[in-house]
Amino acid sequence: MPFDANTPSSPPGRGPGFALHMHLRNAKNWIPACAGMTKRLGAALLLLTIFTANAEVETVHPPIPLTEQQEALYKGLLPELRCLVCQNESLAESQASLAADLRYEVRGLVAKGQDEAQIKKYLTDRYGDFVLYKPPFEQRTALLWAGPGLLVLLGLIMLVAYTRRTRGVPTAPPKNDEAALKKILDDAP
Amino acid sequence: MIPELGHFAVILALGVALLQAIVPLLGWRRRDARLLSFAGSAAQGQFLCVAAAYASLTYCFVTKDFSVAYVAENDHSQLPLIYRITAVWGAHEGSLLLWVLILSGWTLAVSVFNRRLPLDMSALVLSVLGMVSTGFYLFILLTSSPFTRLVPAPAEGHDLNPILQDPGLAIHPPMLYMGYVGFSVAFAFAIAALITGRLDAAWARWTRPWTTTAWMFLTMGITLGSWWAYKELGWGGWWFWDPVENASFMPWLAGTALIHSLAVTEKRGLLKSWTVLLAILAFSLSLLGTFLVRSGVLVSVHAFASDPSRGMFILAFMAVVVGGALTLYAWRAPKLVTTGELKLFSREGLLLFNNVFLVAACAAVLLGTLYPLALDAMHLGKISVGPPYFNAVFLPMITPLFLLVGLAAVVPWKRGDWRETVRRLRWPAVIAVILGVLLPFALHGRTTLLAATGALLGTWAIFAAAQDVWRRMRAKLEWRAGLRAVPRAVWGMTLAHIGLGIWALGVSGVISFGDEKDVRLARGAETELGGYSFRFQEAGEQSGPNYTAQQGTVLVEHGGRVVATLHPQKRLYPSQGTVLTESSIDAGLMRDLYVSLGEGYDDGSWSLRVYYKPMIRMIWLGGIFMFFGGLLAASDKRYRLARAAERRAIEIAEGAVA
Amino acid sequence: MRYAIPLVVLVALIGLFIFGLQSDPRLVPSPLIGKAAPAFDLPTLDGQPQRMSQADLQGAPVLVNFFASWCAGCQEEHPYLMQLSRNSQVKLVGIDYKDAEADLRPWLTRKGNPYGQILTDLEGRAGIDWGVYGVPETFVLDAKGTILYKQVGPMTPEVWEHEIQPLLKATS
Repeated sequence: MPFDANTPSSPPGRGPGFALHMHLRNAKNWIPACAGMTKRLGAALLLLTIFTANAEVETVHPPIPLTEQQEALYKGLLPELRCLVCQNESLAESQASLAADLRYEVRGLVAKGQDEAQIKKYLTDRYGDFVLYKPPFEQRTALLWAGPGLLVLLGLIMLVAYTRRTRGVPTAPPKNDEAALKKILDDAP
Repeated sequence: MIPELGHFAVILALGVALLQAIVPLLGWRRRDARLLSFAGSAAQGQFLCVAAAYASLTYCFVTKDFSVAYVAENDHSQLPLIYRITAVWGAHEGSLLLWVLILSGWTLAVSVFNRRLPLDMSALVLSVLGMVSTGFYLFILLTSSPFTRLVPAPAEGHDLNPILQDPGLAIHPPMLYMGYVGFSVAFAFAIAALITGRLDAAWARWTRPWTTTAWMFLTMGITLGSWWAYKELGWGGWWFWDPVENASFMPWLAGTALIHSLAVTEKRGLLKSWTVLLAILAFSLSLLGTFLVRSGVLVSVHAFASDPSRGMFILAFMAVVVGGALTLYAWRAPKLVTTGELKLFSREGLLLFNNVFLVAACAAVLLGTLYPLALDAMHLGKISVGPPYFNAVFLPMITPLFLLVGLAAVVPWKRGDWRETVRRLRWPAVIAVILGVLLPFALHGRTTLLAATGALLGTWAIFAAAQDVWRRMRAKLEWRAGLRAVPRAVWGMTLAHIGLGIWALGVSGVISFGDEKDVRLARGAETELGGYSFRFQEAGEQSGPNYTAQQGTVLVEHGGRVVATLHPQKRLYPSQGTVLTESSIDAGLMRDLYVSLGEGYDDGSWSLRVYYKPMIRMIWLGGIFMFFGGLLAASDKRYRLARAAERRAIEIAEGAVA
Repeated sequence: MRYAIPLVVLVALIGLFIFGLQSDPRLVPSPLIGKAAPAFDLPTLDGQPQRMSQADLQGAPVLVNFFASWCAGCQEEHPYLMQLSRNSQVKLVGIDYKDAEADLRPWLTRKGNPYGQILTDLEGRAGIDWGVYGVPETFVLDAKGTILYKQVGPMTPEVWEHEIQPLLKATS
């Protein structure tokens, strides 16, 4: 049966090679790297991590069963929530351990019967509006939401005004006939 | 020694570029043909210098010269040869060198193909390109030299970021840069026209093939980038509305608008100042993209390692180049006013509608990308603007474009005829409505508003574009003769518009019917998705040339038959200690089956992400259609007319000598 | 005149980018500033008392430092925290975030313990309630338990002297 794995990440110290990676990733944790490409940190951090062979304890989350409706809400919500530690990824995409924890939280809230607004409030209360990929319409985002429509409107008005202005204006003979073009080409100094 | 030569070659290229920028300008002031014709030689010399610099960096990568800091950062002794060559553009410094190589390549092409242009025009174009190059050489030499030595040299390199070790990414940057940089040619033409005040149908005709060529490369670059992200980032997304993607998409939108307004300027001699503005904008947005990607002002999944001093340099450079161009525009454009009636219902009127929607969409993308930064600057808090916003805003904005696309080939210049339009488009319209309703049911057994709209608009674009070729084919007695008579420009437009239709089918299909699942499966357990059952067979160790991997085996069955065996991997690249998920995909035109490996557990079970992605290939297929459409349009006969005449003259002259 | 509009837009954009180059896009301000510290109930490392909650933070200004033995930024700030614990009157409470006790104890033995009290947040639940998105993060609380300030990333002398000390002075 499907179960919400959501990359419930490994307990520490599993497999030698993979453990090394975990240190590296966690070492950079305050500028955490997800699937992104922060490469430069490399050499310097390698030194640091060699003697801190400690690993972040990654929580293994038990499955939370959801009804079909709740599952749909959960799946719809995740892409709208931003993973804070990542470069620019949603909770649906991120492989960071905090993202896994937050997915578990969200899933738990969905299972408790909370709706979209309540869950979003739960997250913005803690992390601020930054977590919402779709900012709510309010005074400071008015231009963001109205802007595109206004732009189209403005463009259409300008377009109509332009055609009005040129109405009945005799058309300059088009210069695209080959003779005229050839003449221009031949005029080359 | 070799890296020092490379560095020296860049310095030399800077000198040549400076001359290329200044001498033709002097020649233009003094009406001196000798000074003007110097531009061409300078362009060729500059190309040789950059090619030498580029070759020497490649040499350092191939020979694993870790005494060069950039090579040590991005090369590794175990890295396969092909990736040692592509690693040259794997990070900031080298990709900048690739950028100037391509820029000087375009400059060279202009100097070769523009021999038929008036000498002053051609020389001024090269001069502007020389100015742009100068800025980039300074950028390389002052902030980002790839040739800096590392003392002492490390014994081993730090390796190319494993996520870049992929064929898709190997060719994505060159294609993208061909597009970005290619718009510099249209930009240079625009500046030259503003300087000389000569902006006529001939100017539009010269500029068009350059613009189309740049556009088709940009289209391919974006398409490849999307495909790479889909298969490499491991969670099945194909477009993220990330600032870096938006940075490539904005010039594409502006460039697409430019292609269409150039048509009006060429055929009707109208909209001159608008066309020039678009040409400036397309390249300015390319520069903006460069700034956003390399400065770190925005948080992005795929930004380069950022450095504020570099950001400051590009910003200053952008201010000079774009600011200079727009000042020139503000000063000279009022003199470019042309008269002539433009009716709303005519081809040029429809093209203007197209421009309104494309430019507004481009501005909306810019707005969404920069809005968080603007709020932060005004101390109004930090917000995020992501995919849900862009999807909600962008898709409605481009919907009208599909209606326009269908009318494109049917409505004539100057004055459209409603009755004729309806007569010719009724069948495509009927087909589109029928398919819009039926196609989602036929393919997926159900429908959604988005799926129906996508199917309707997509098939409308395809059939309306195809009917034009069909009509031309039928116009001759013999259909093959009719087909041969279709000009390449028409083929190009038709293919590009069909590509847009295919893209719409793909996008609406995958958004409406795509499904995914996170599961934890024990050995032999299976899960169902999209009518397919995925059975997790086993996981084992595998090793590649420079990585070791845990590899899962997943058997996919459909209707009791095995349709695919997938091998998703989780790779460890020891050189950087990076773990990458390498998804495994069974690709098909109508659906992709996509599995990526999560974590393994002590009991032998694994967590897997399983995706069913219907019609996702059509998204990239649409891009490929557009690419070939561009290729055909750019190679249309009429752009070669003058050159053919020139060649005849040369042949006659040679005949006389013999 | 309208031909100059693009130029005006460009100037505005350049102004915006100059601002952008000077700010860190990754810093997310906490919505908790000015609010009461979130509720928690966490076990202590030394078991005296067994557990602590937000109420136990009241009475005097306190620094709440989310840290972990596996985090590089925490190593970076550790010497300065040691210095603070010696020279400053302010209480330092550490919340050990998603860290194994077996890793933490030797780390403290080796490097020293700057904290008056260490709480362990093994599953990171308290971290979520406090809006922690990476360690180290340090919260400054006044005597009533109201959050005055949040430092993301390592604590530095500059932050302490220019941001935190003035805030503490203003409240006392």
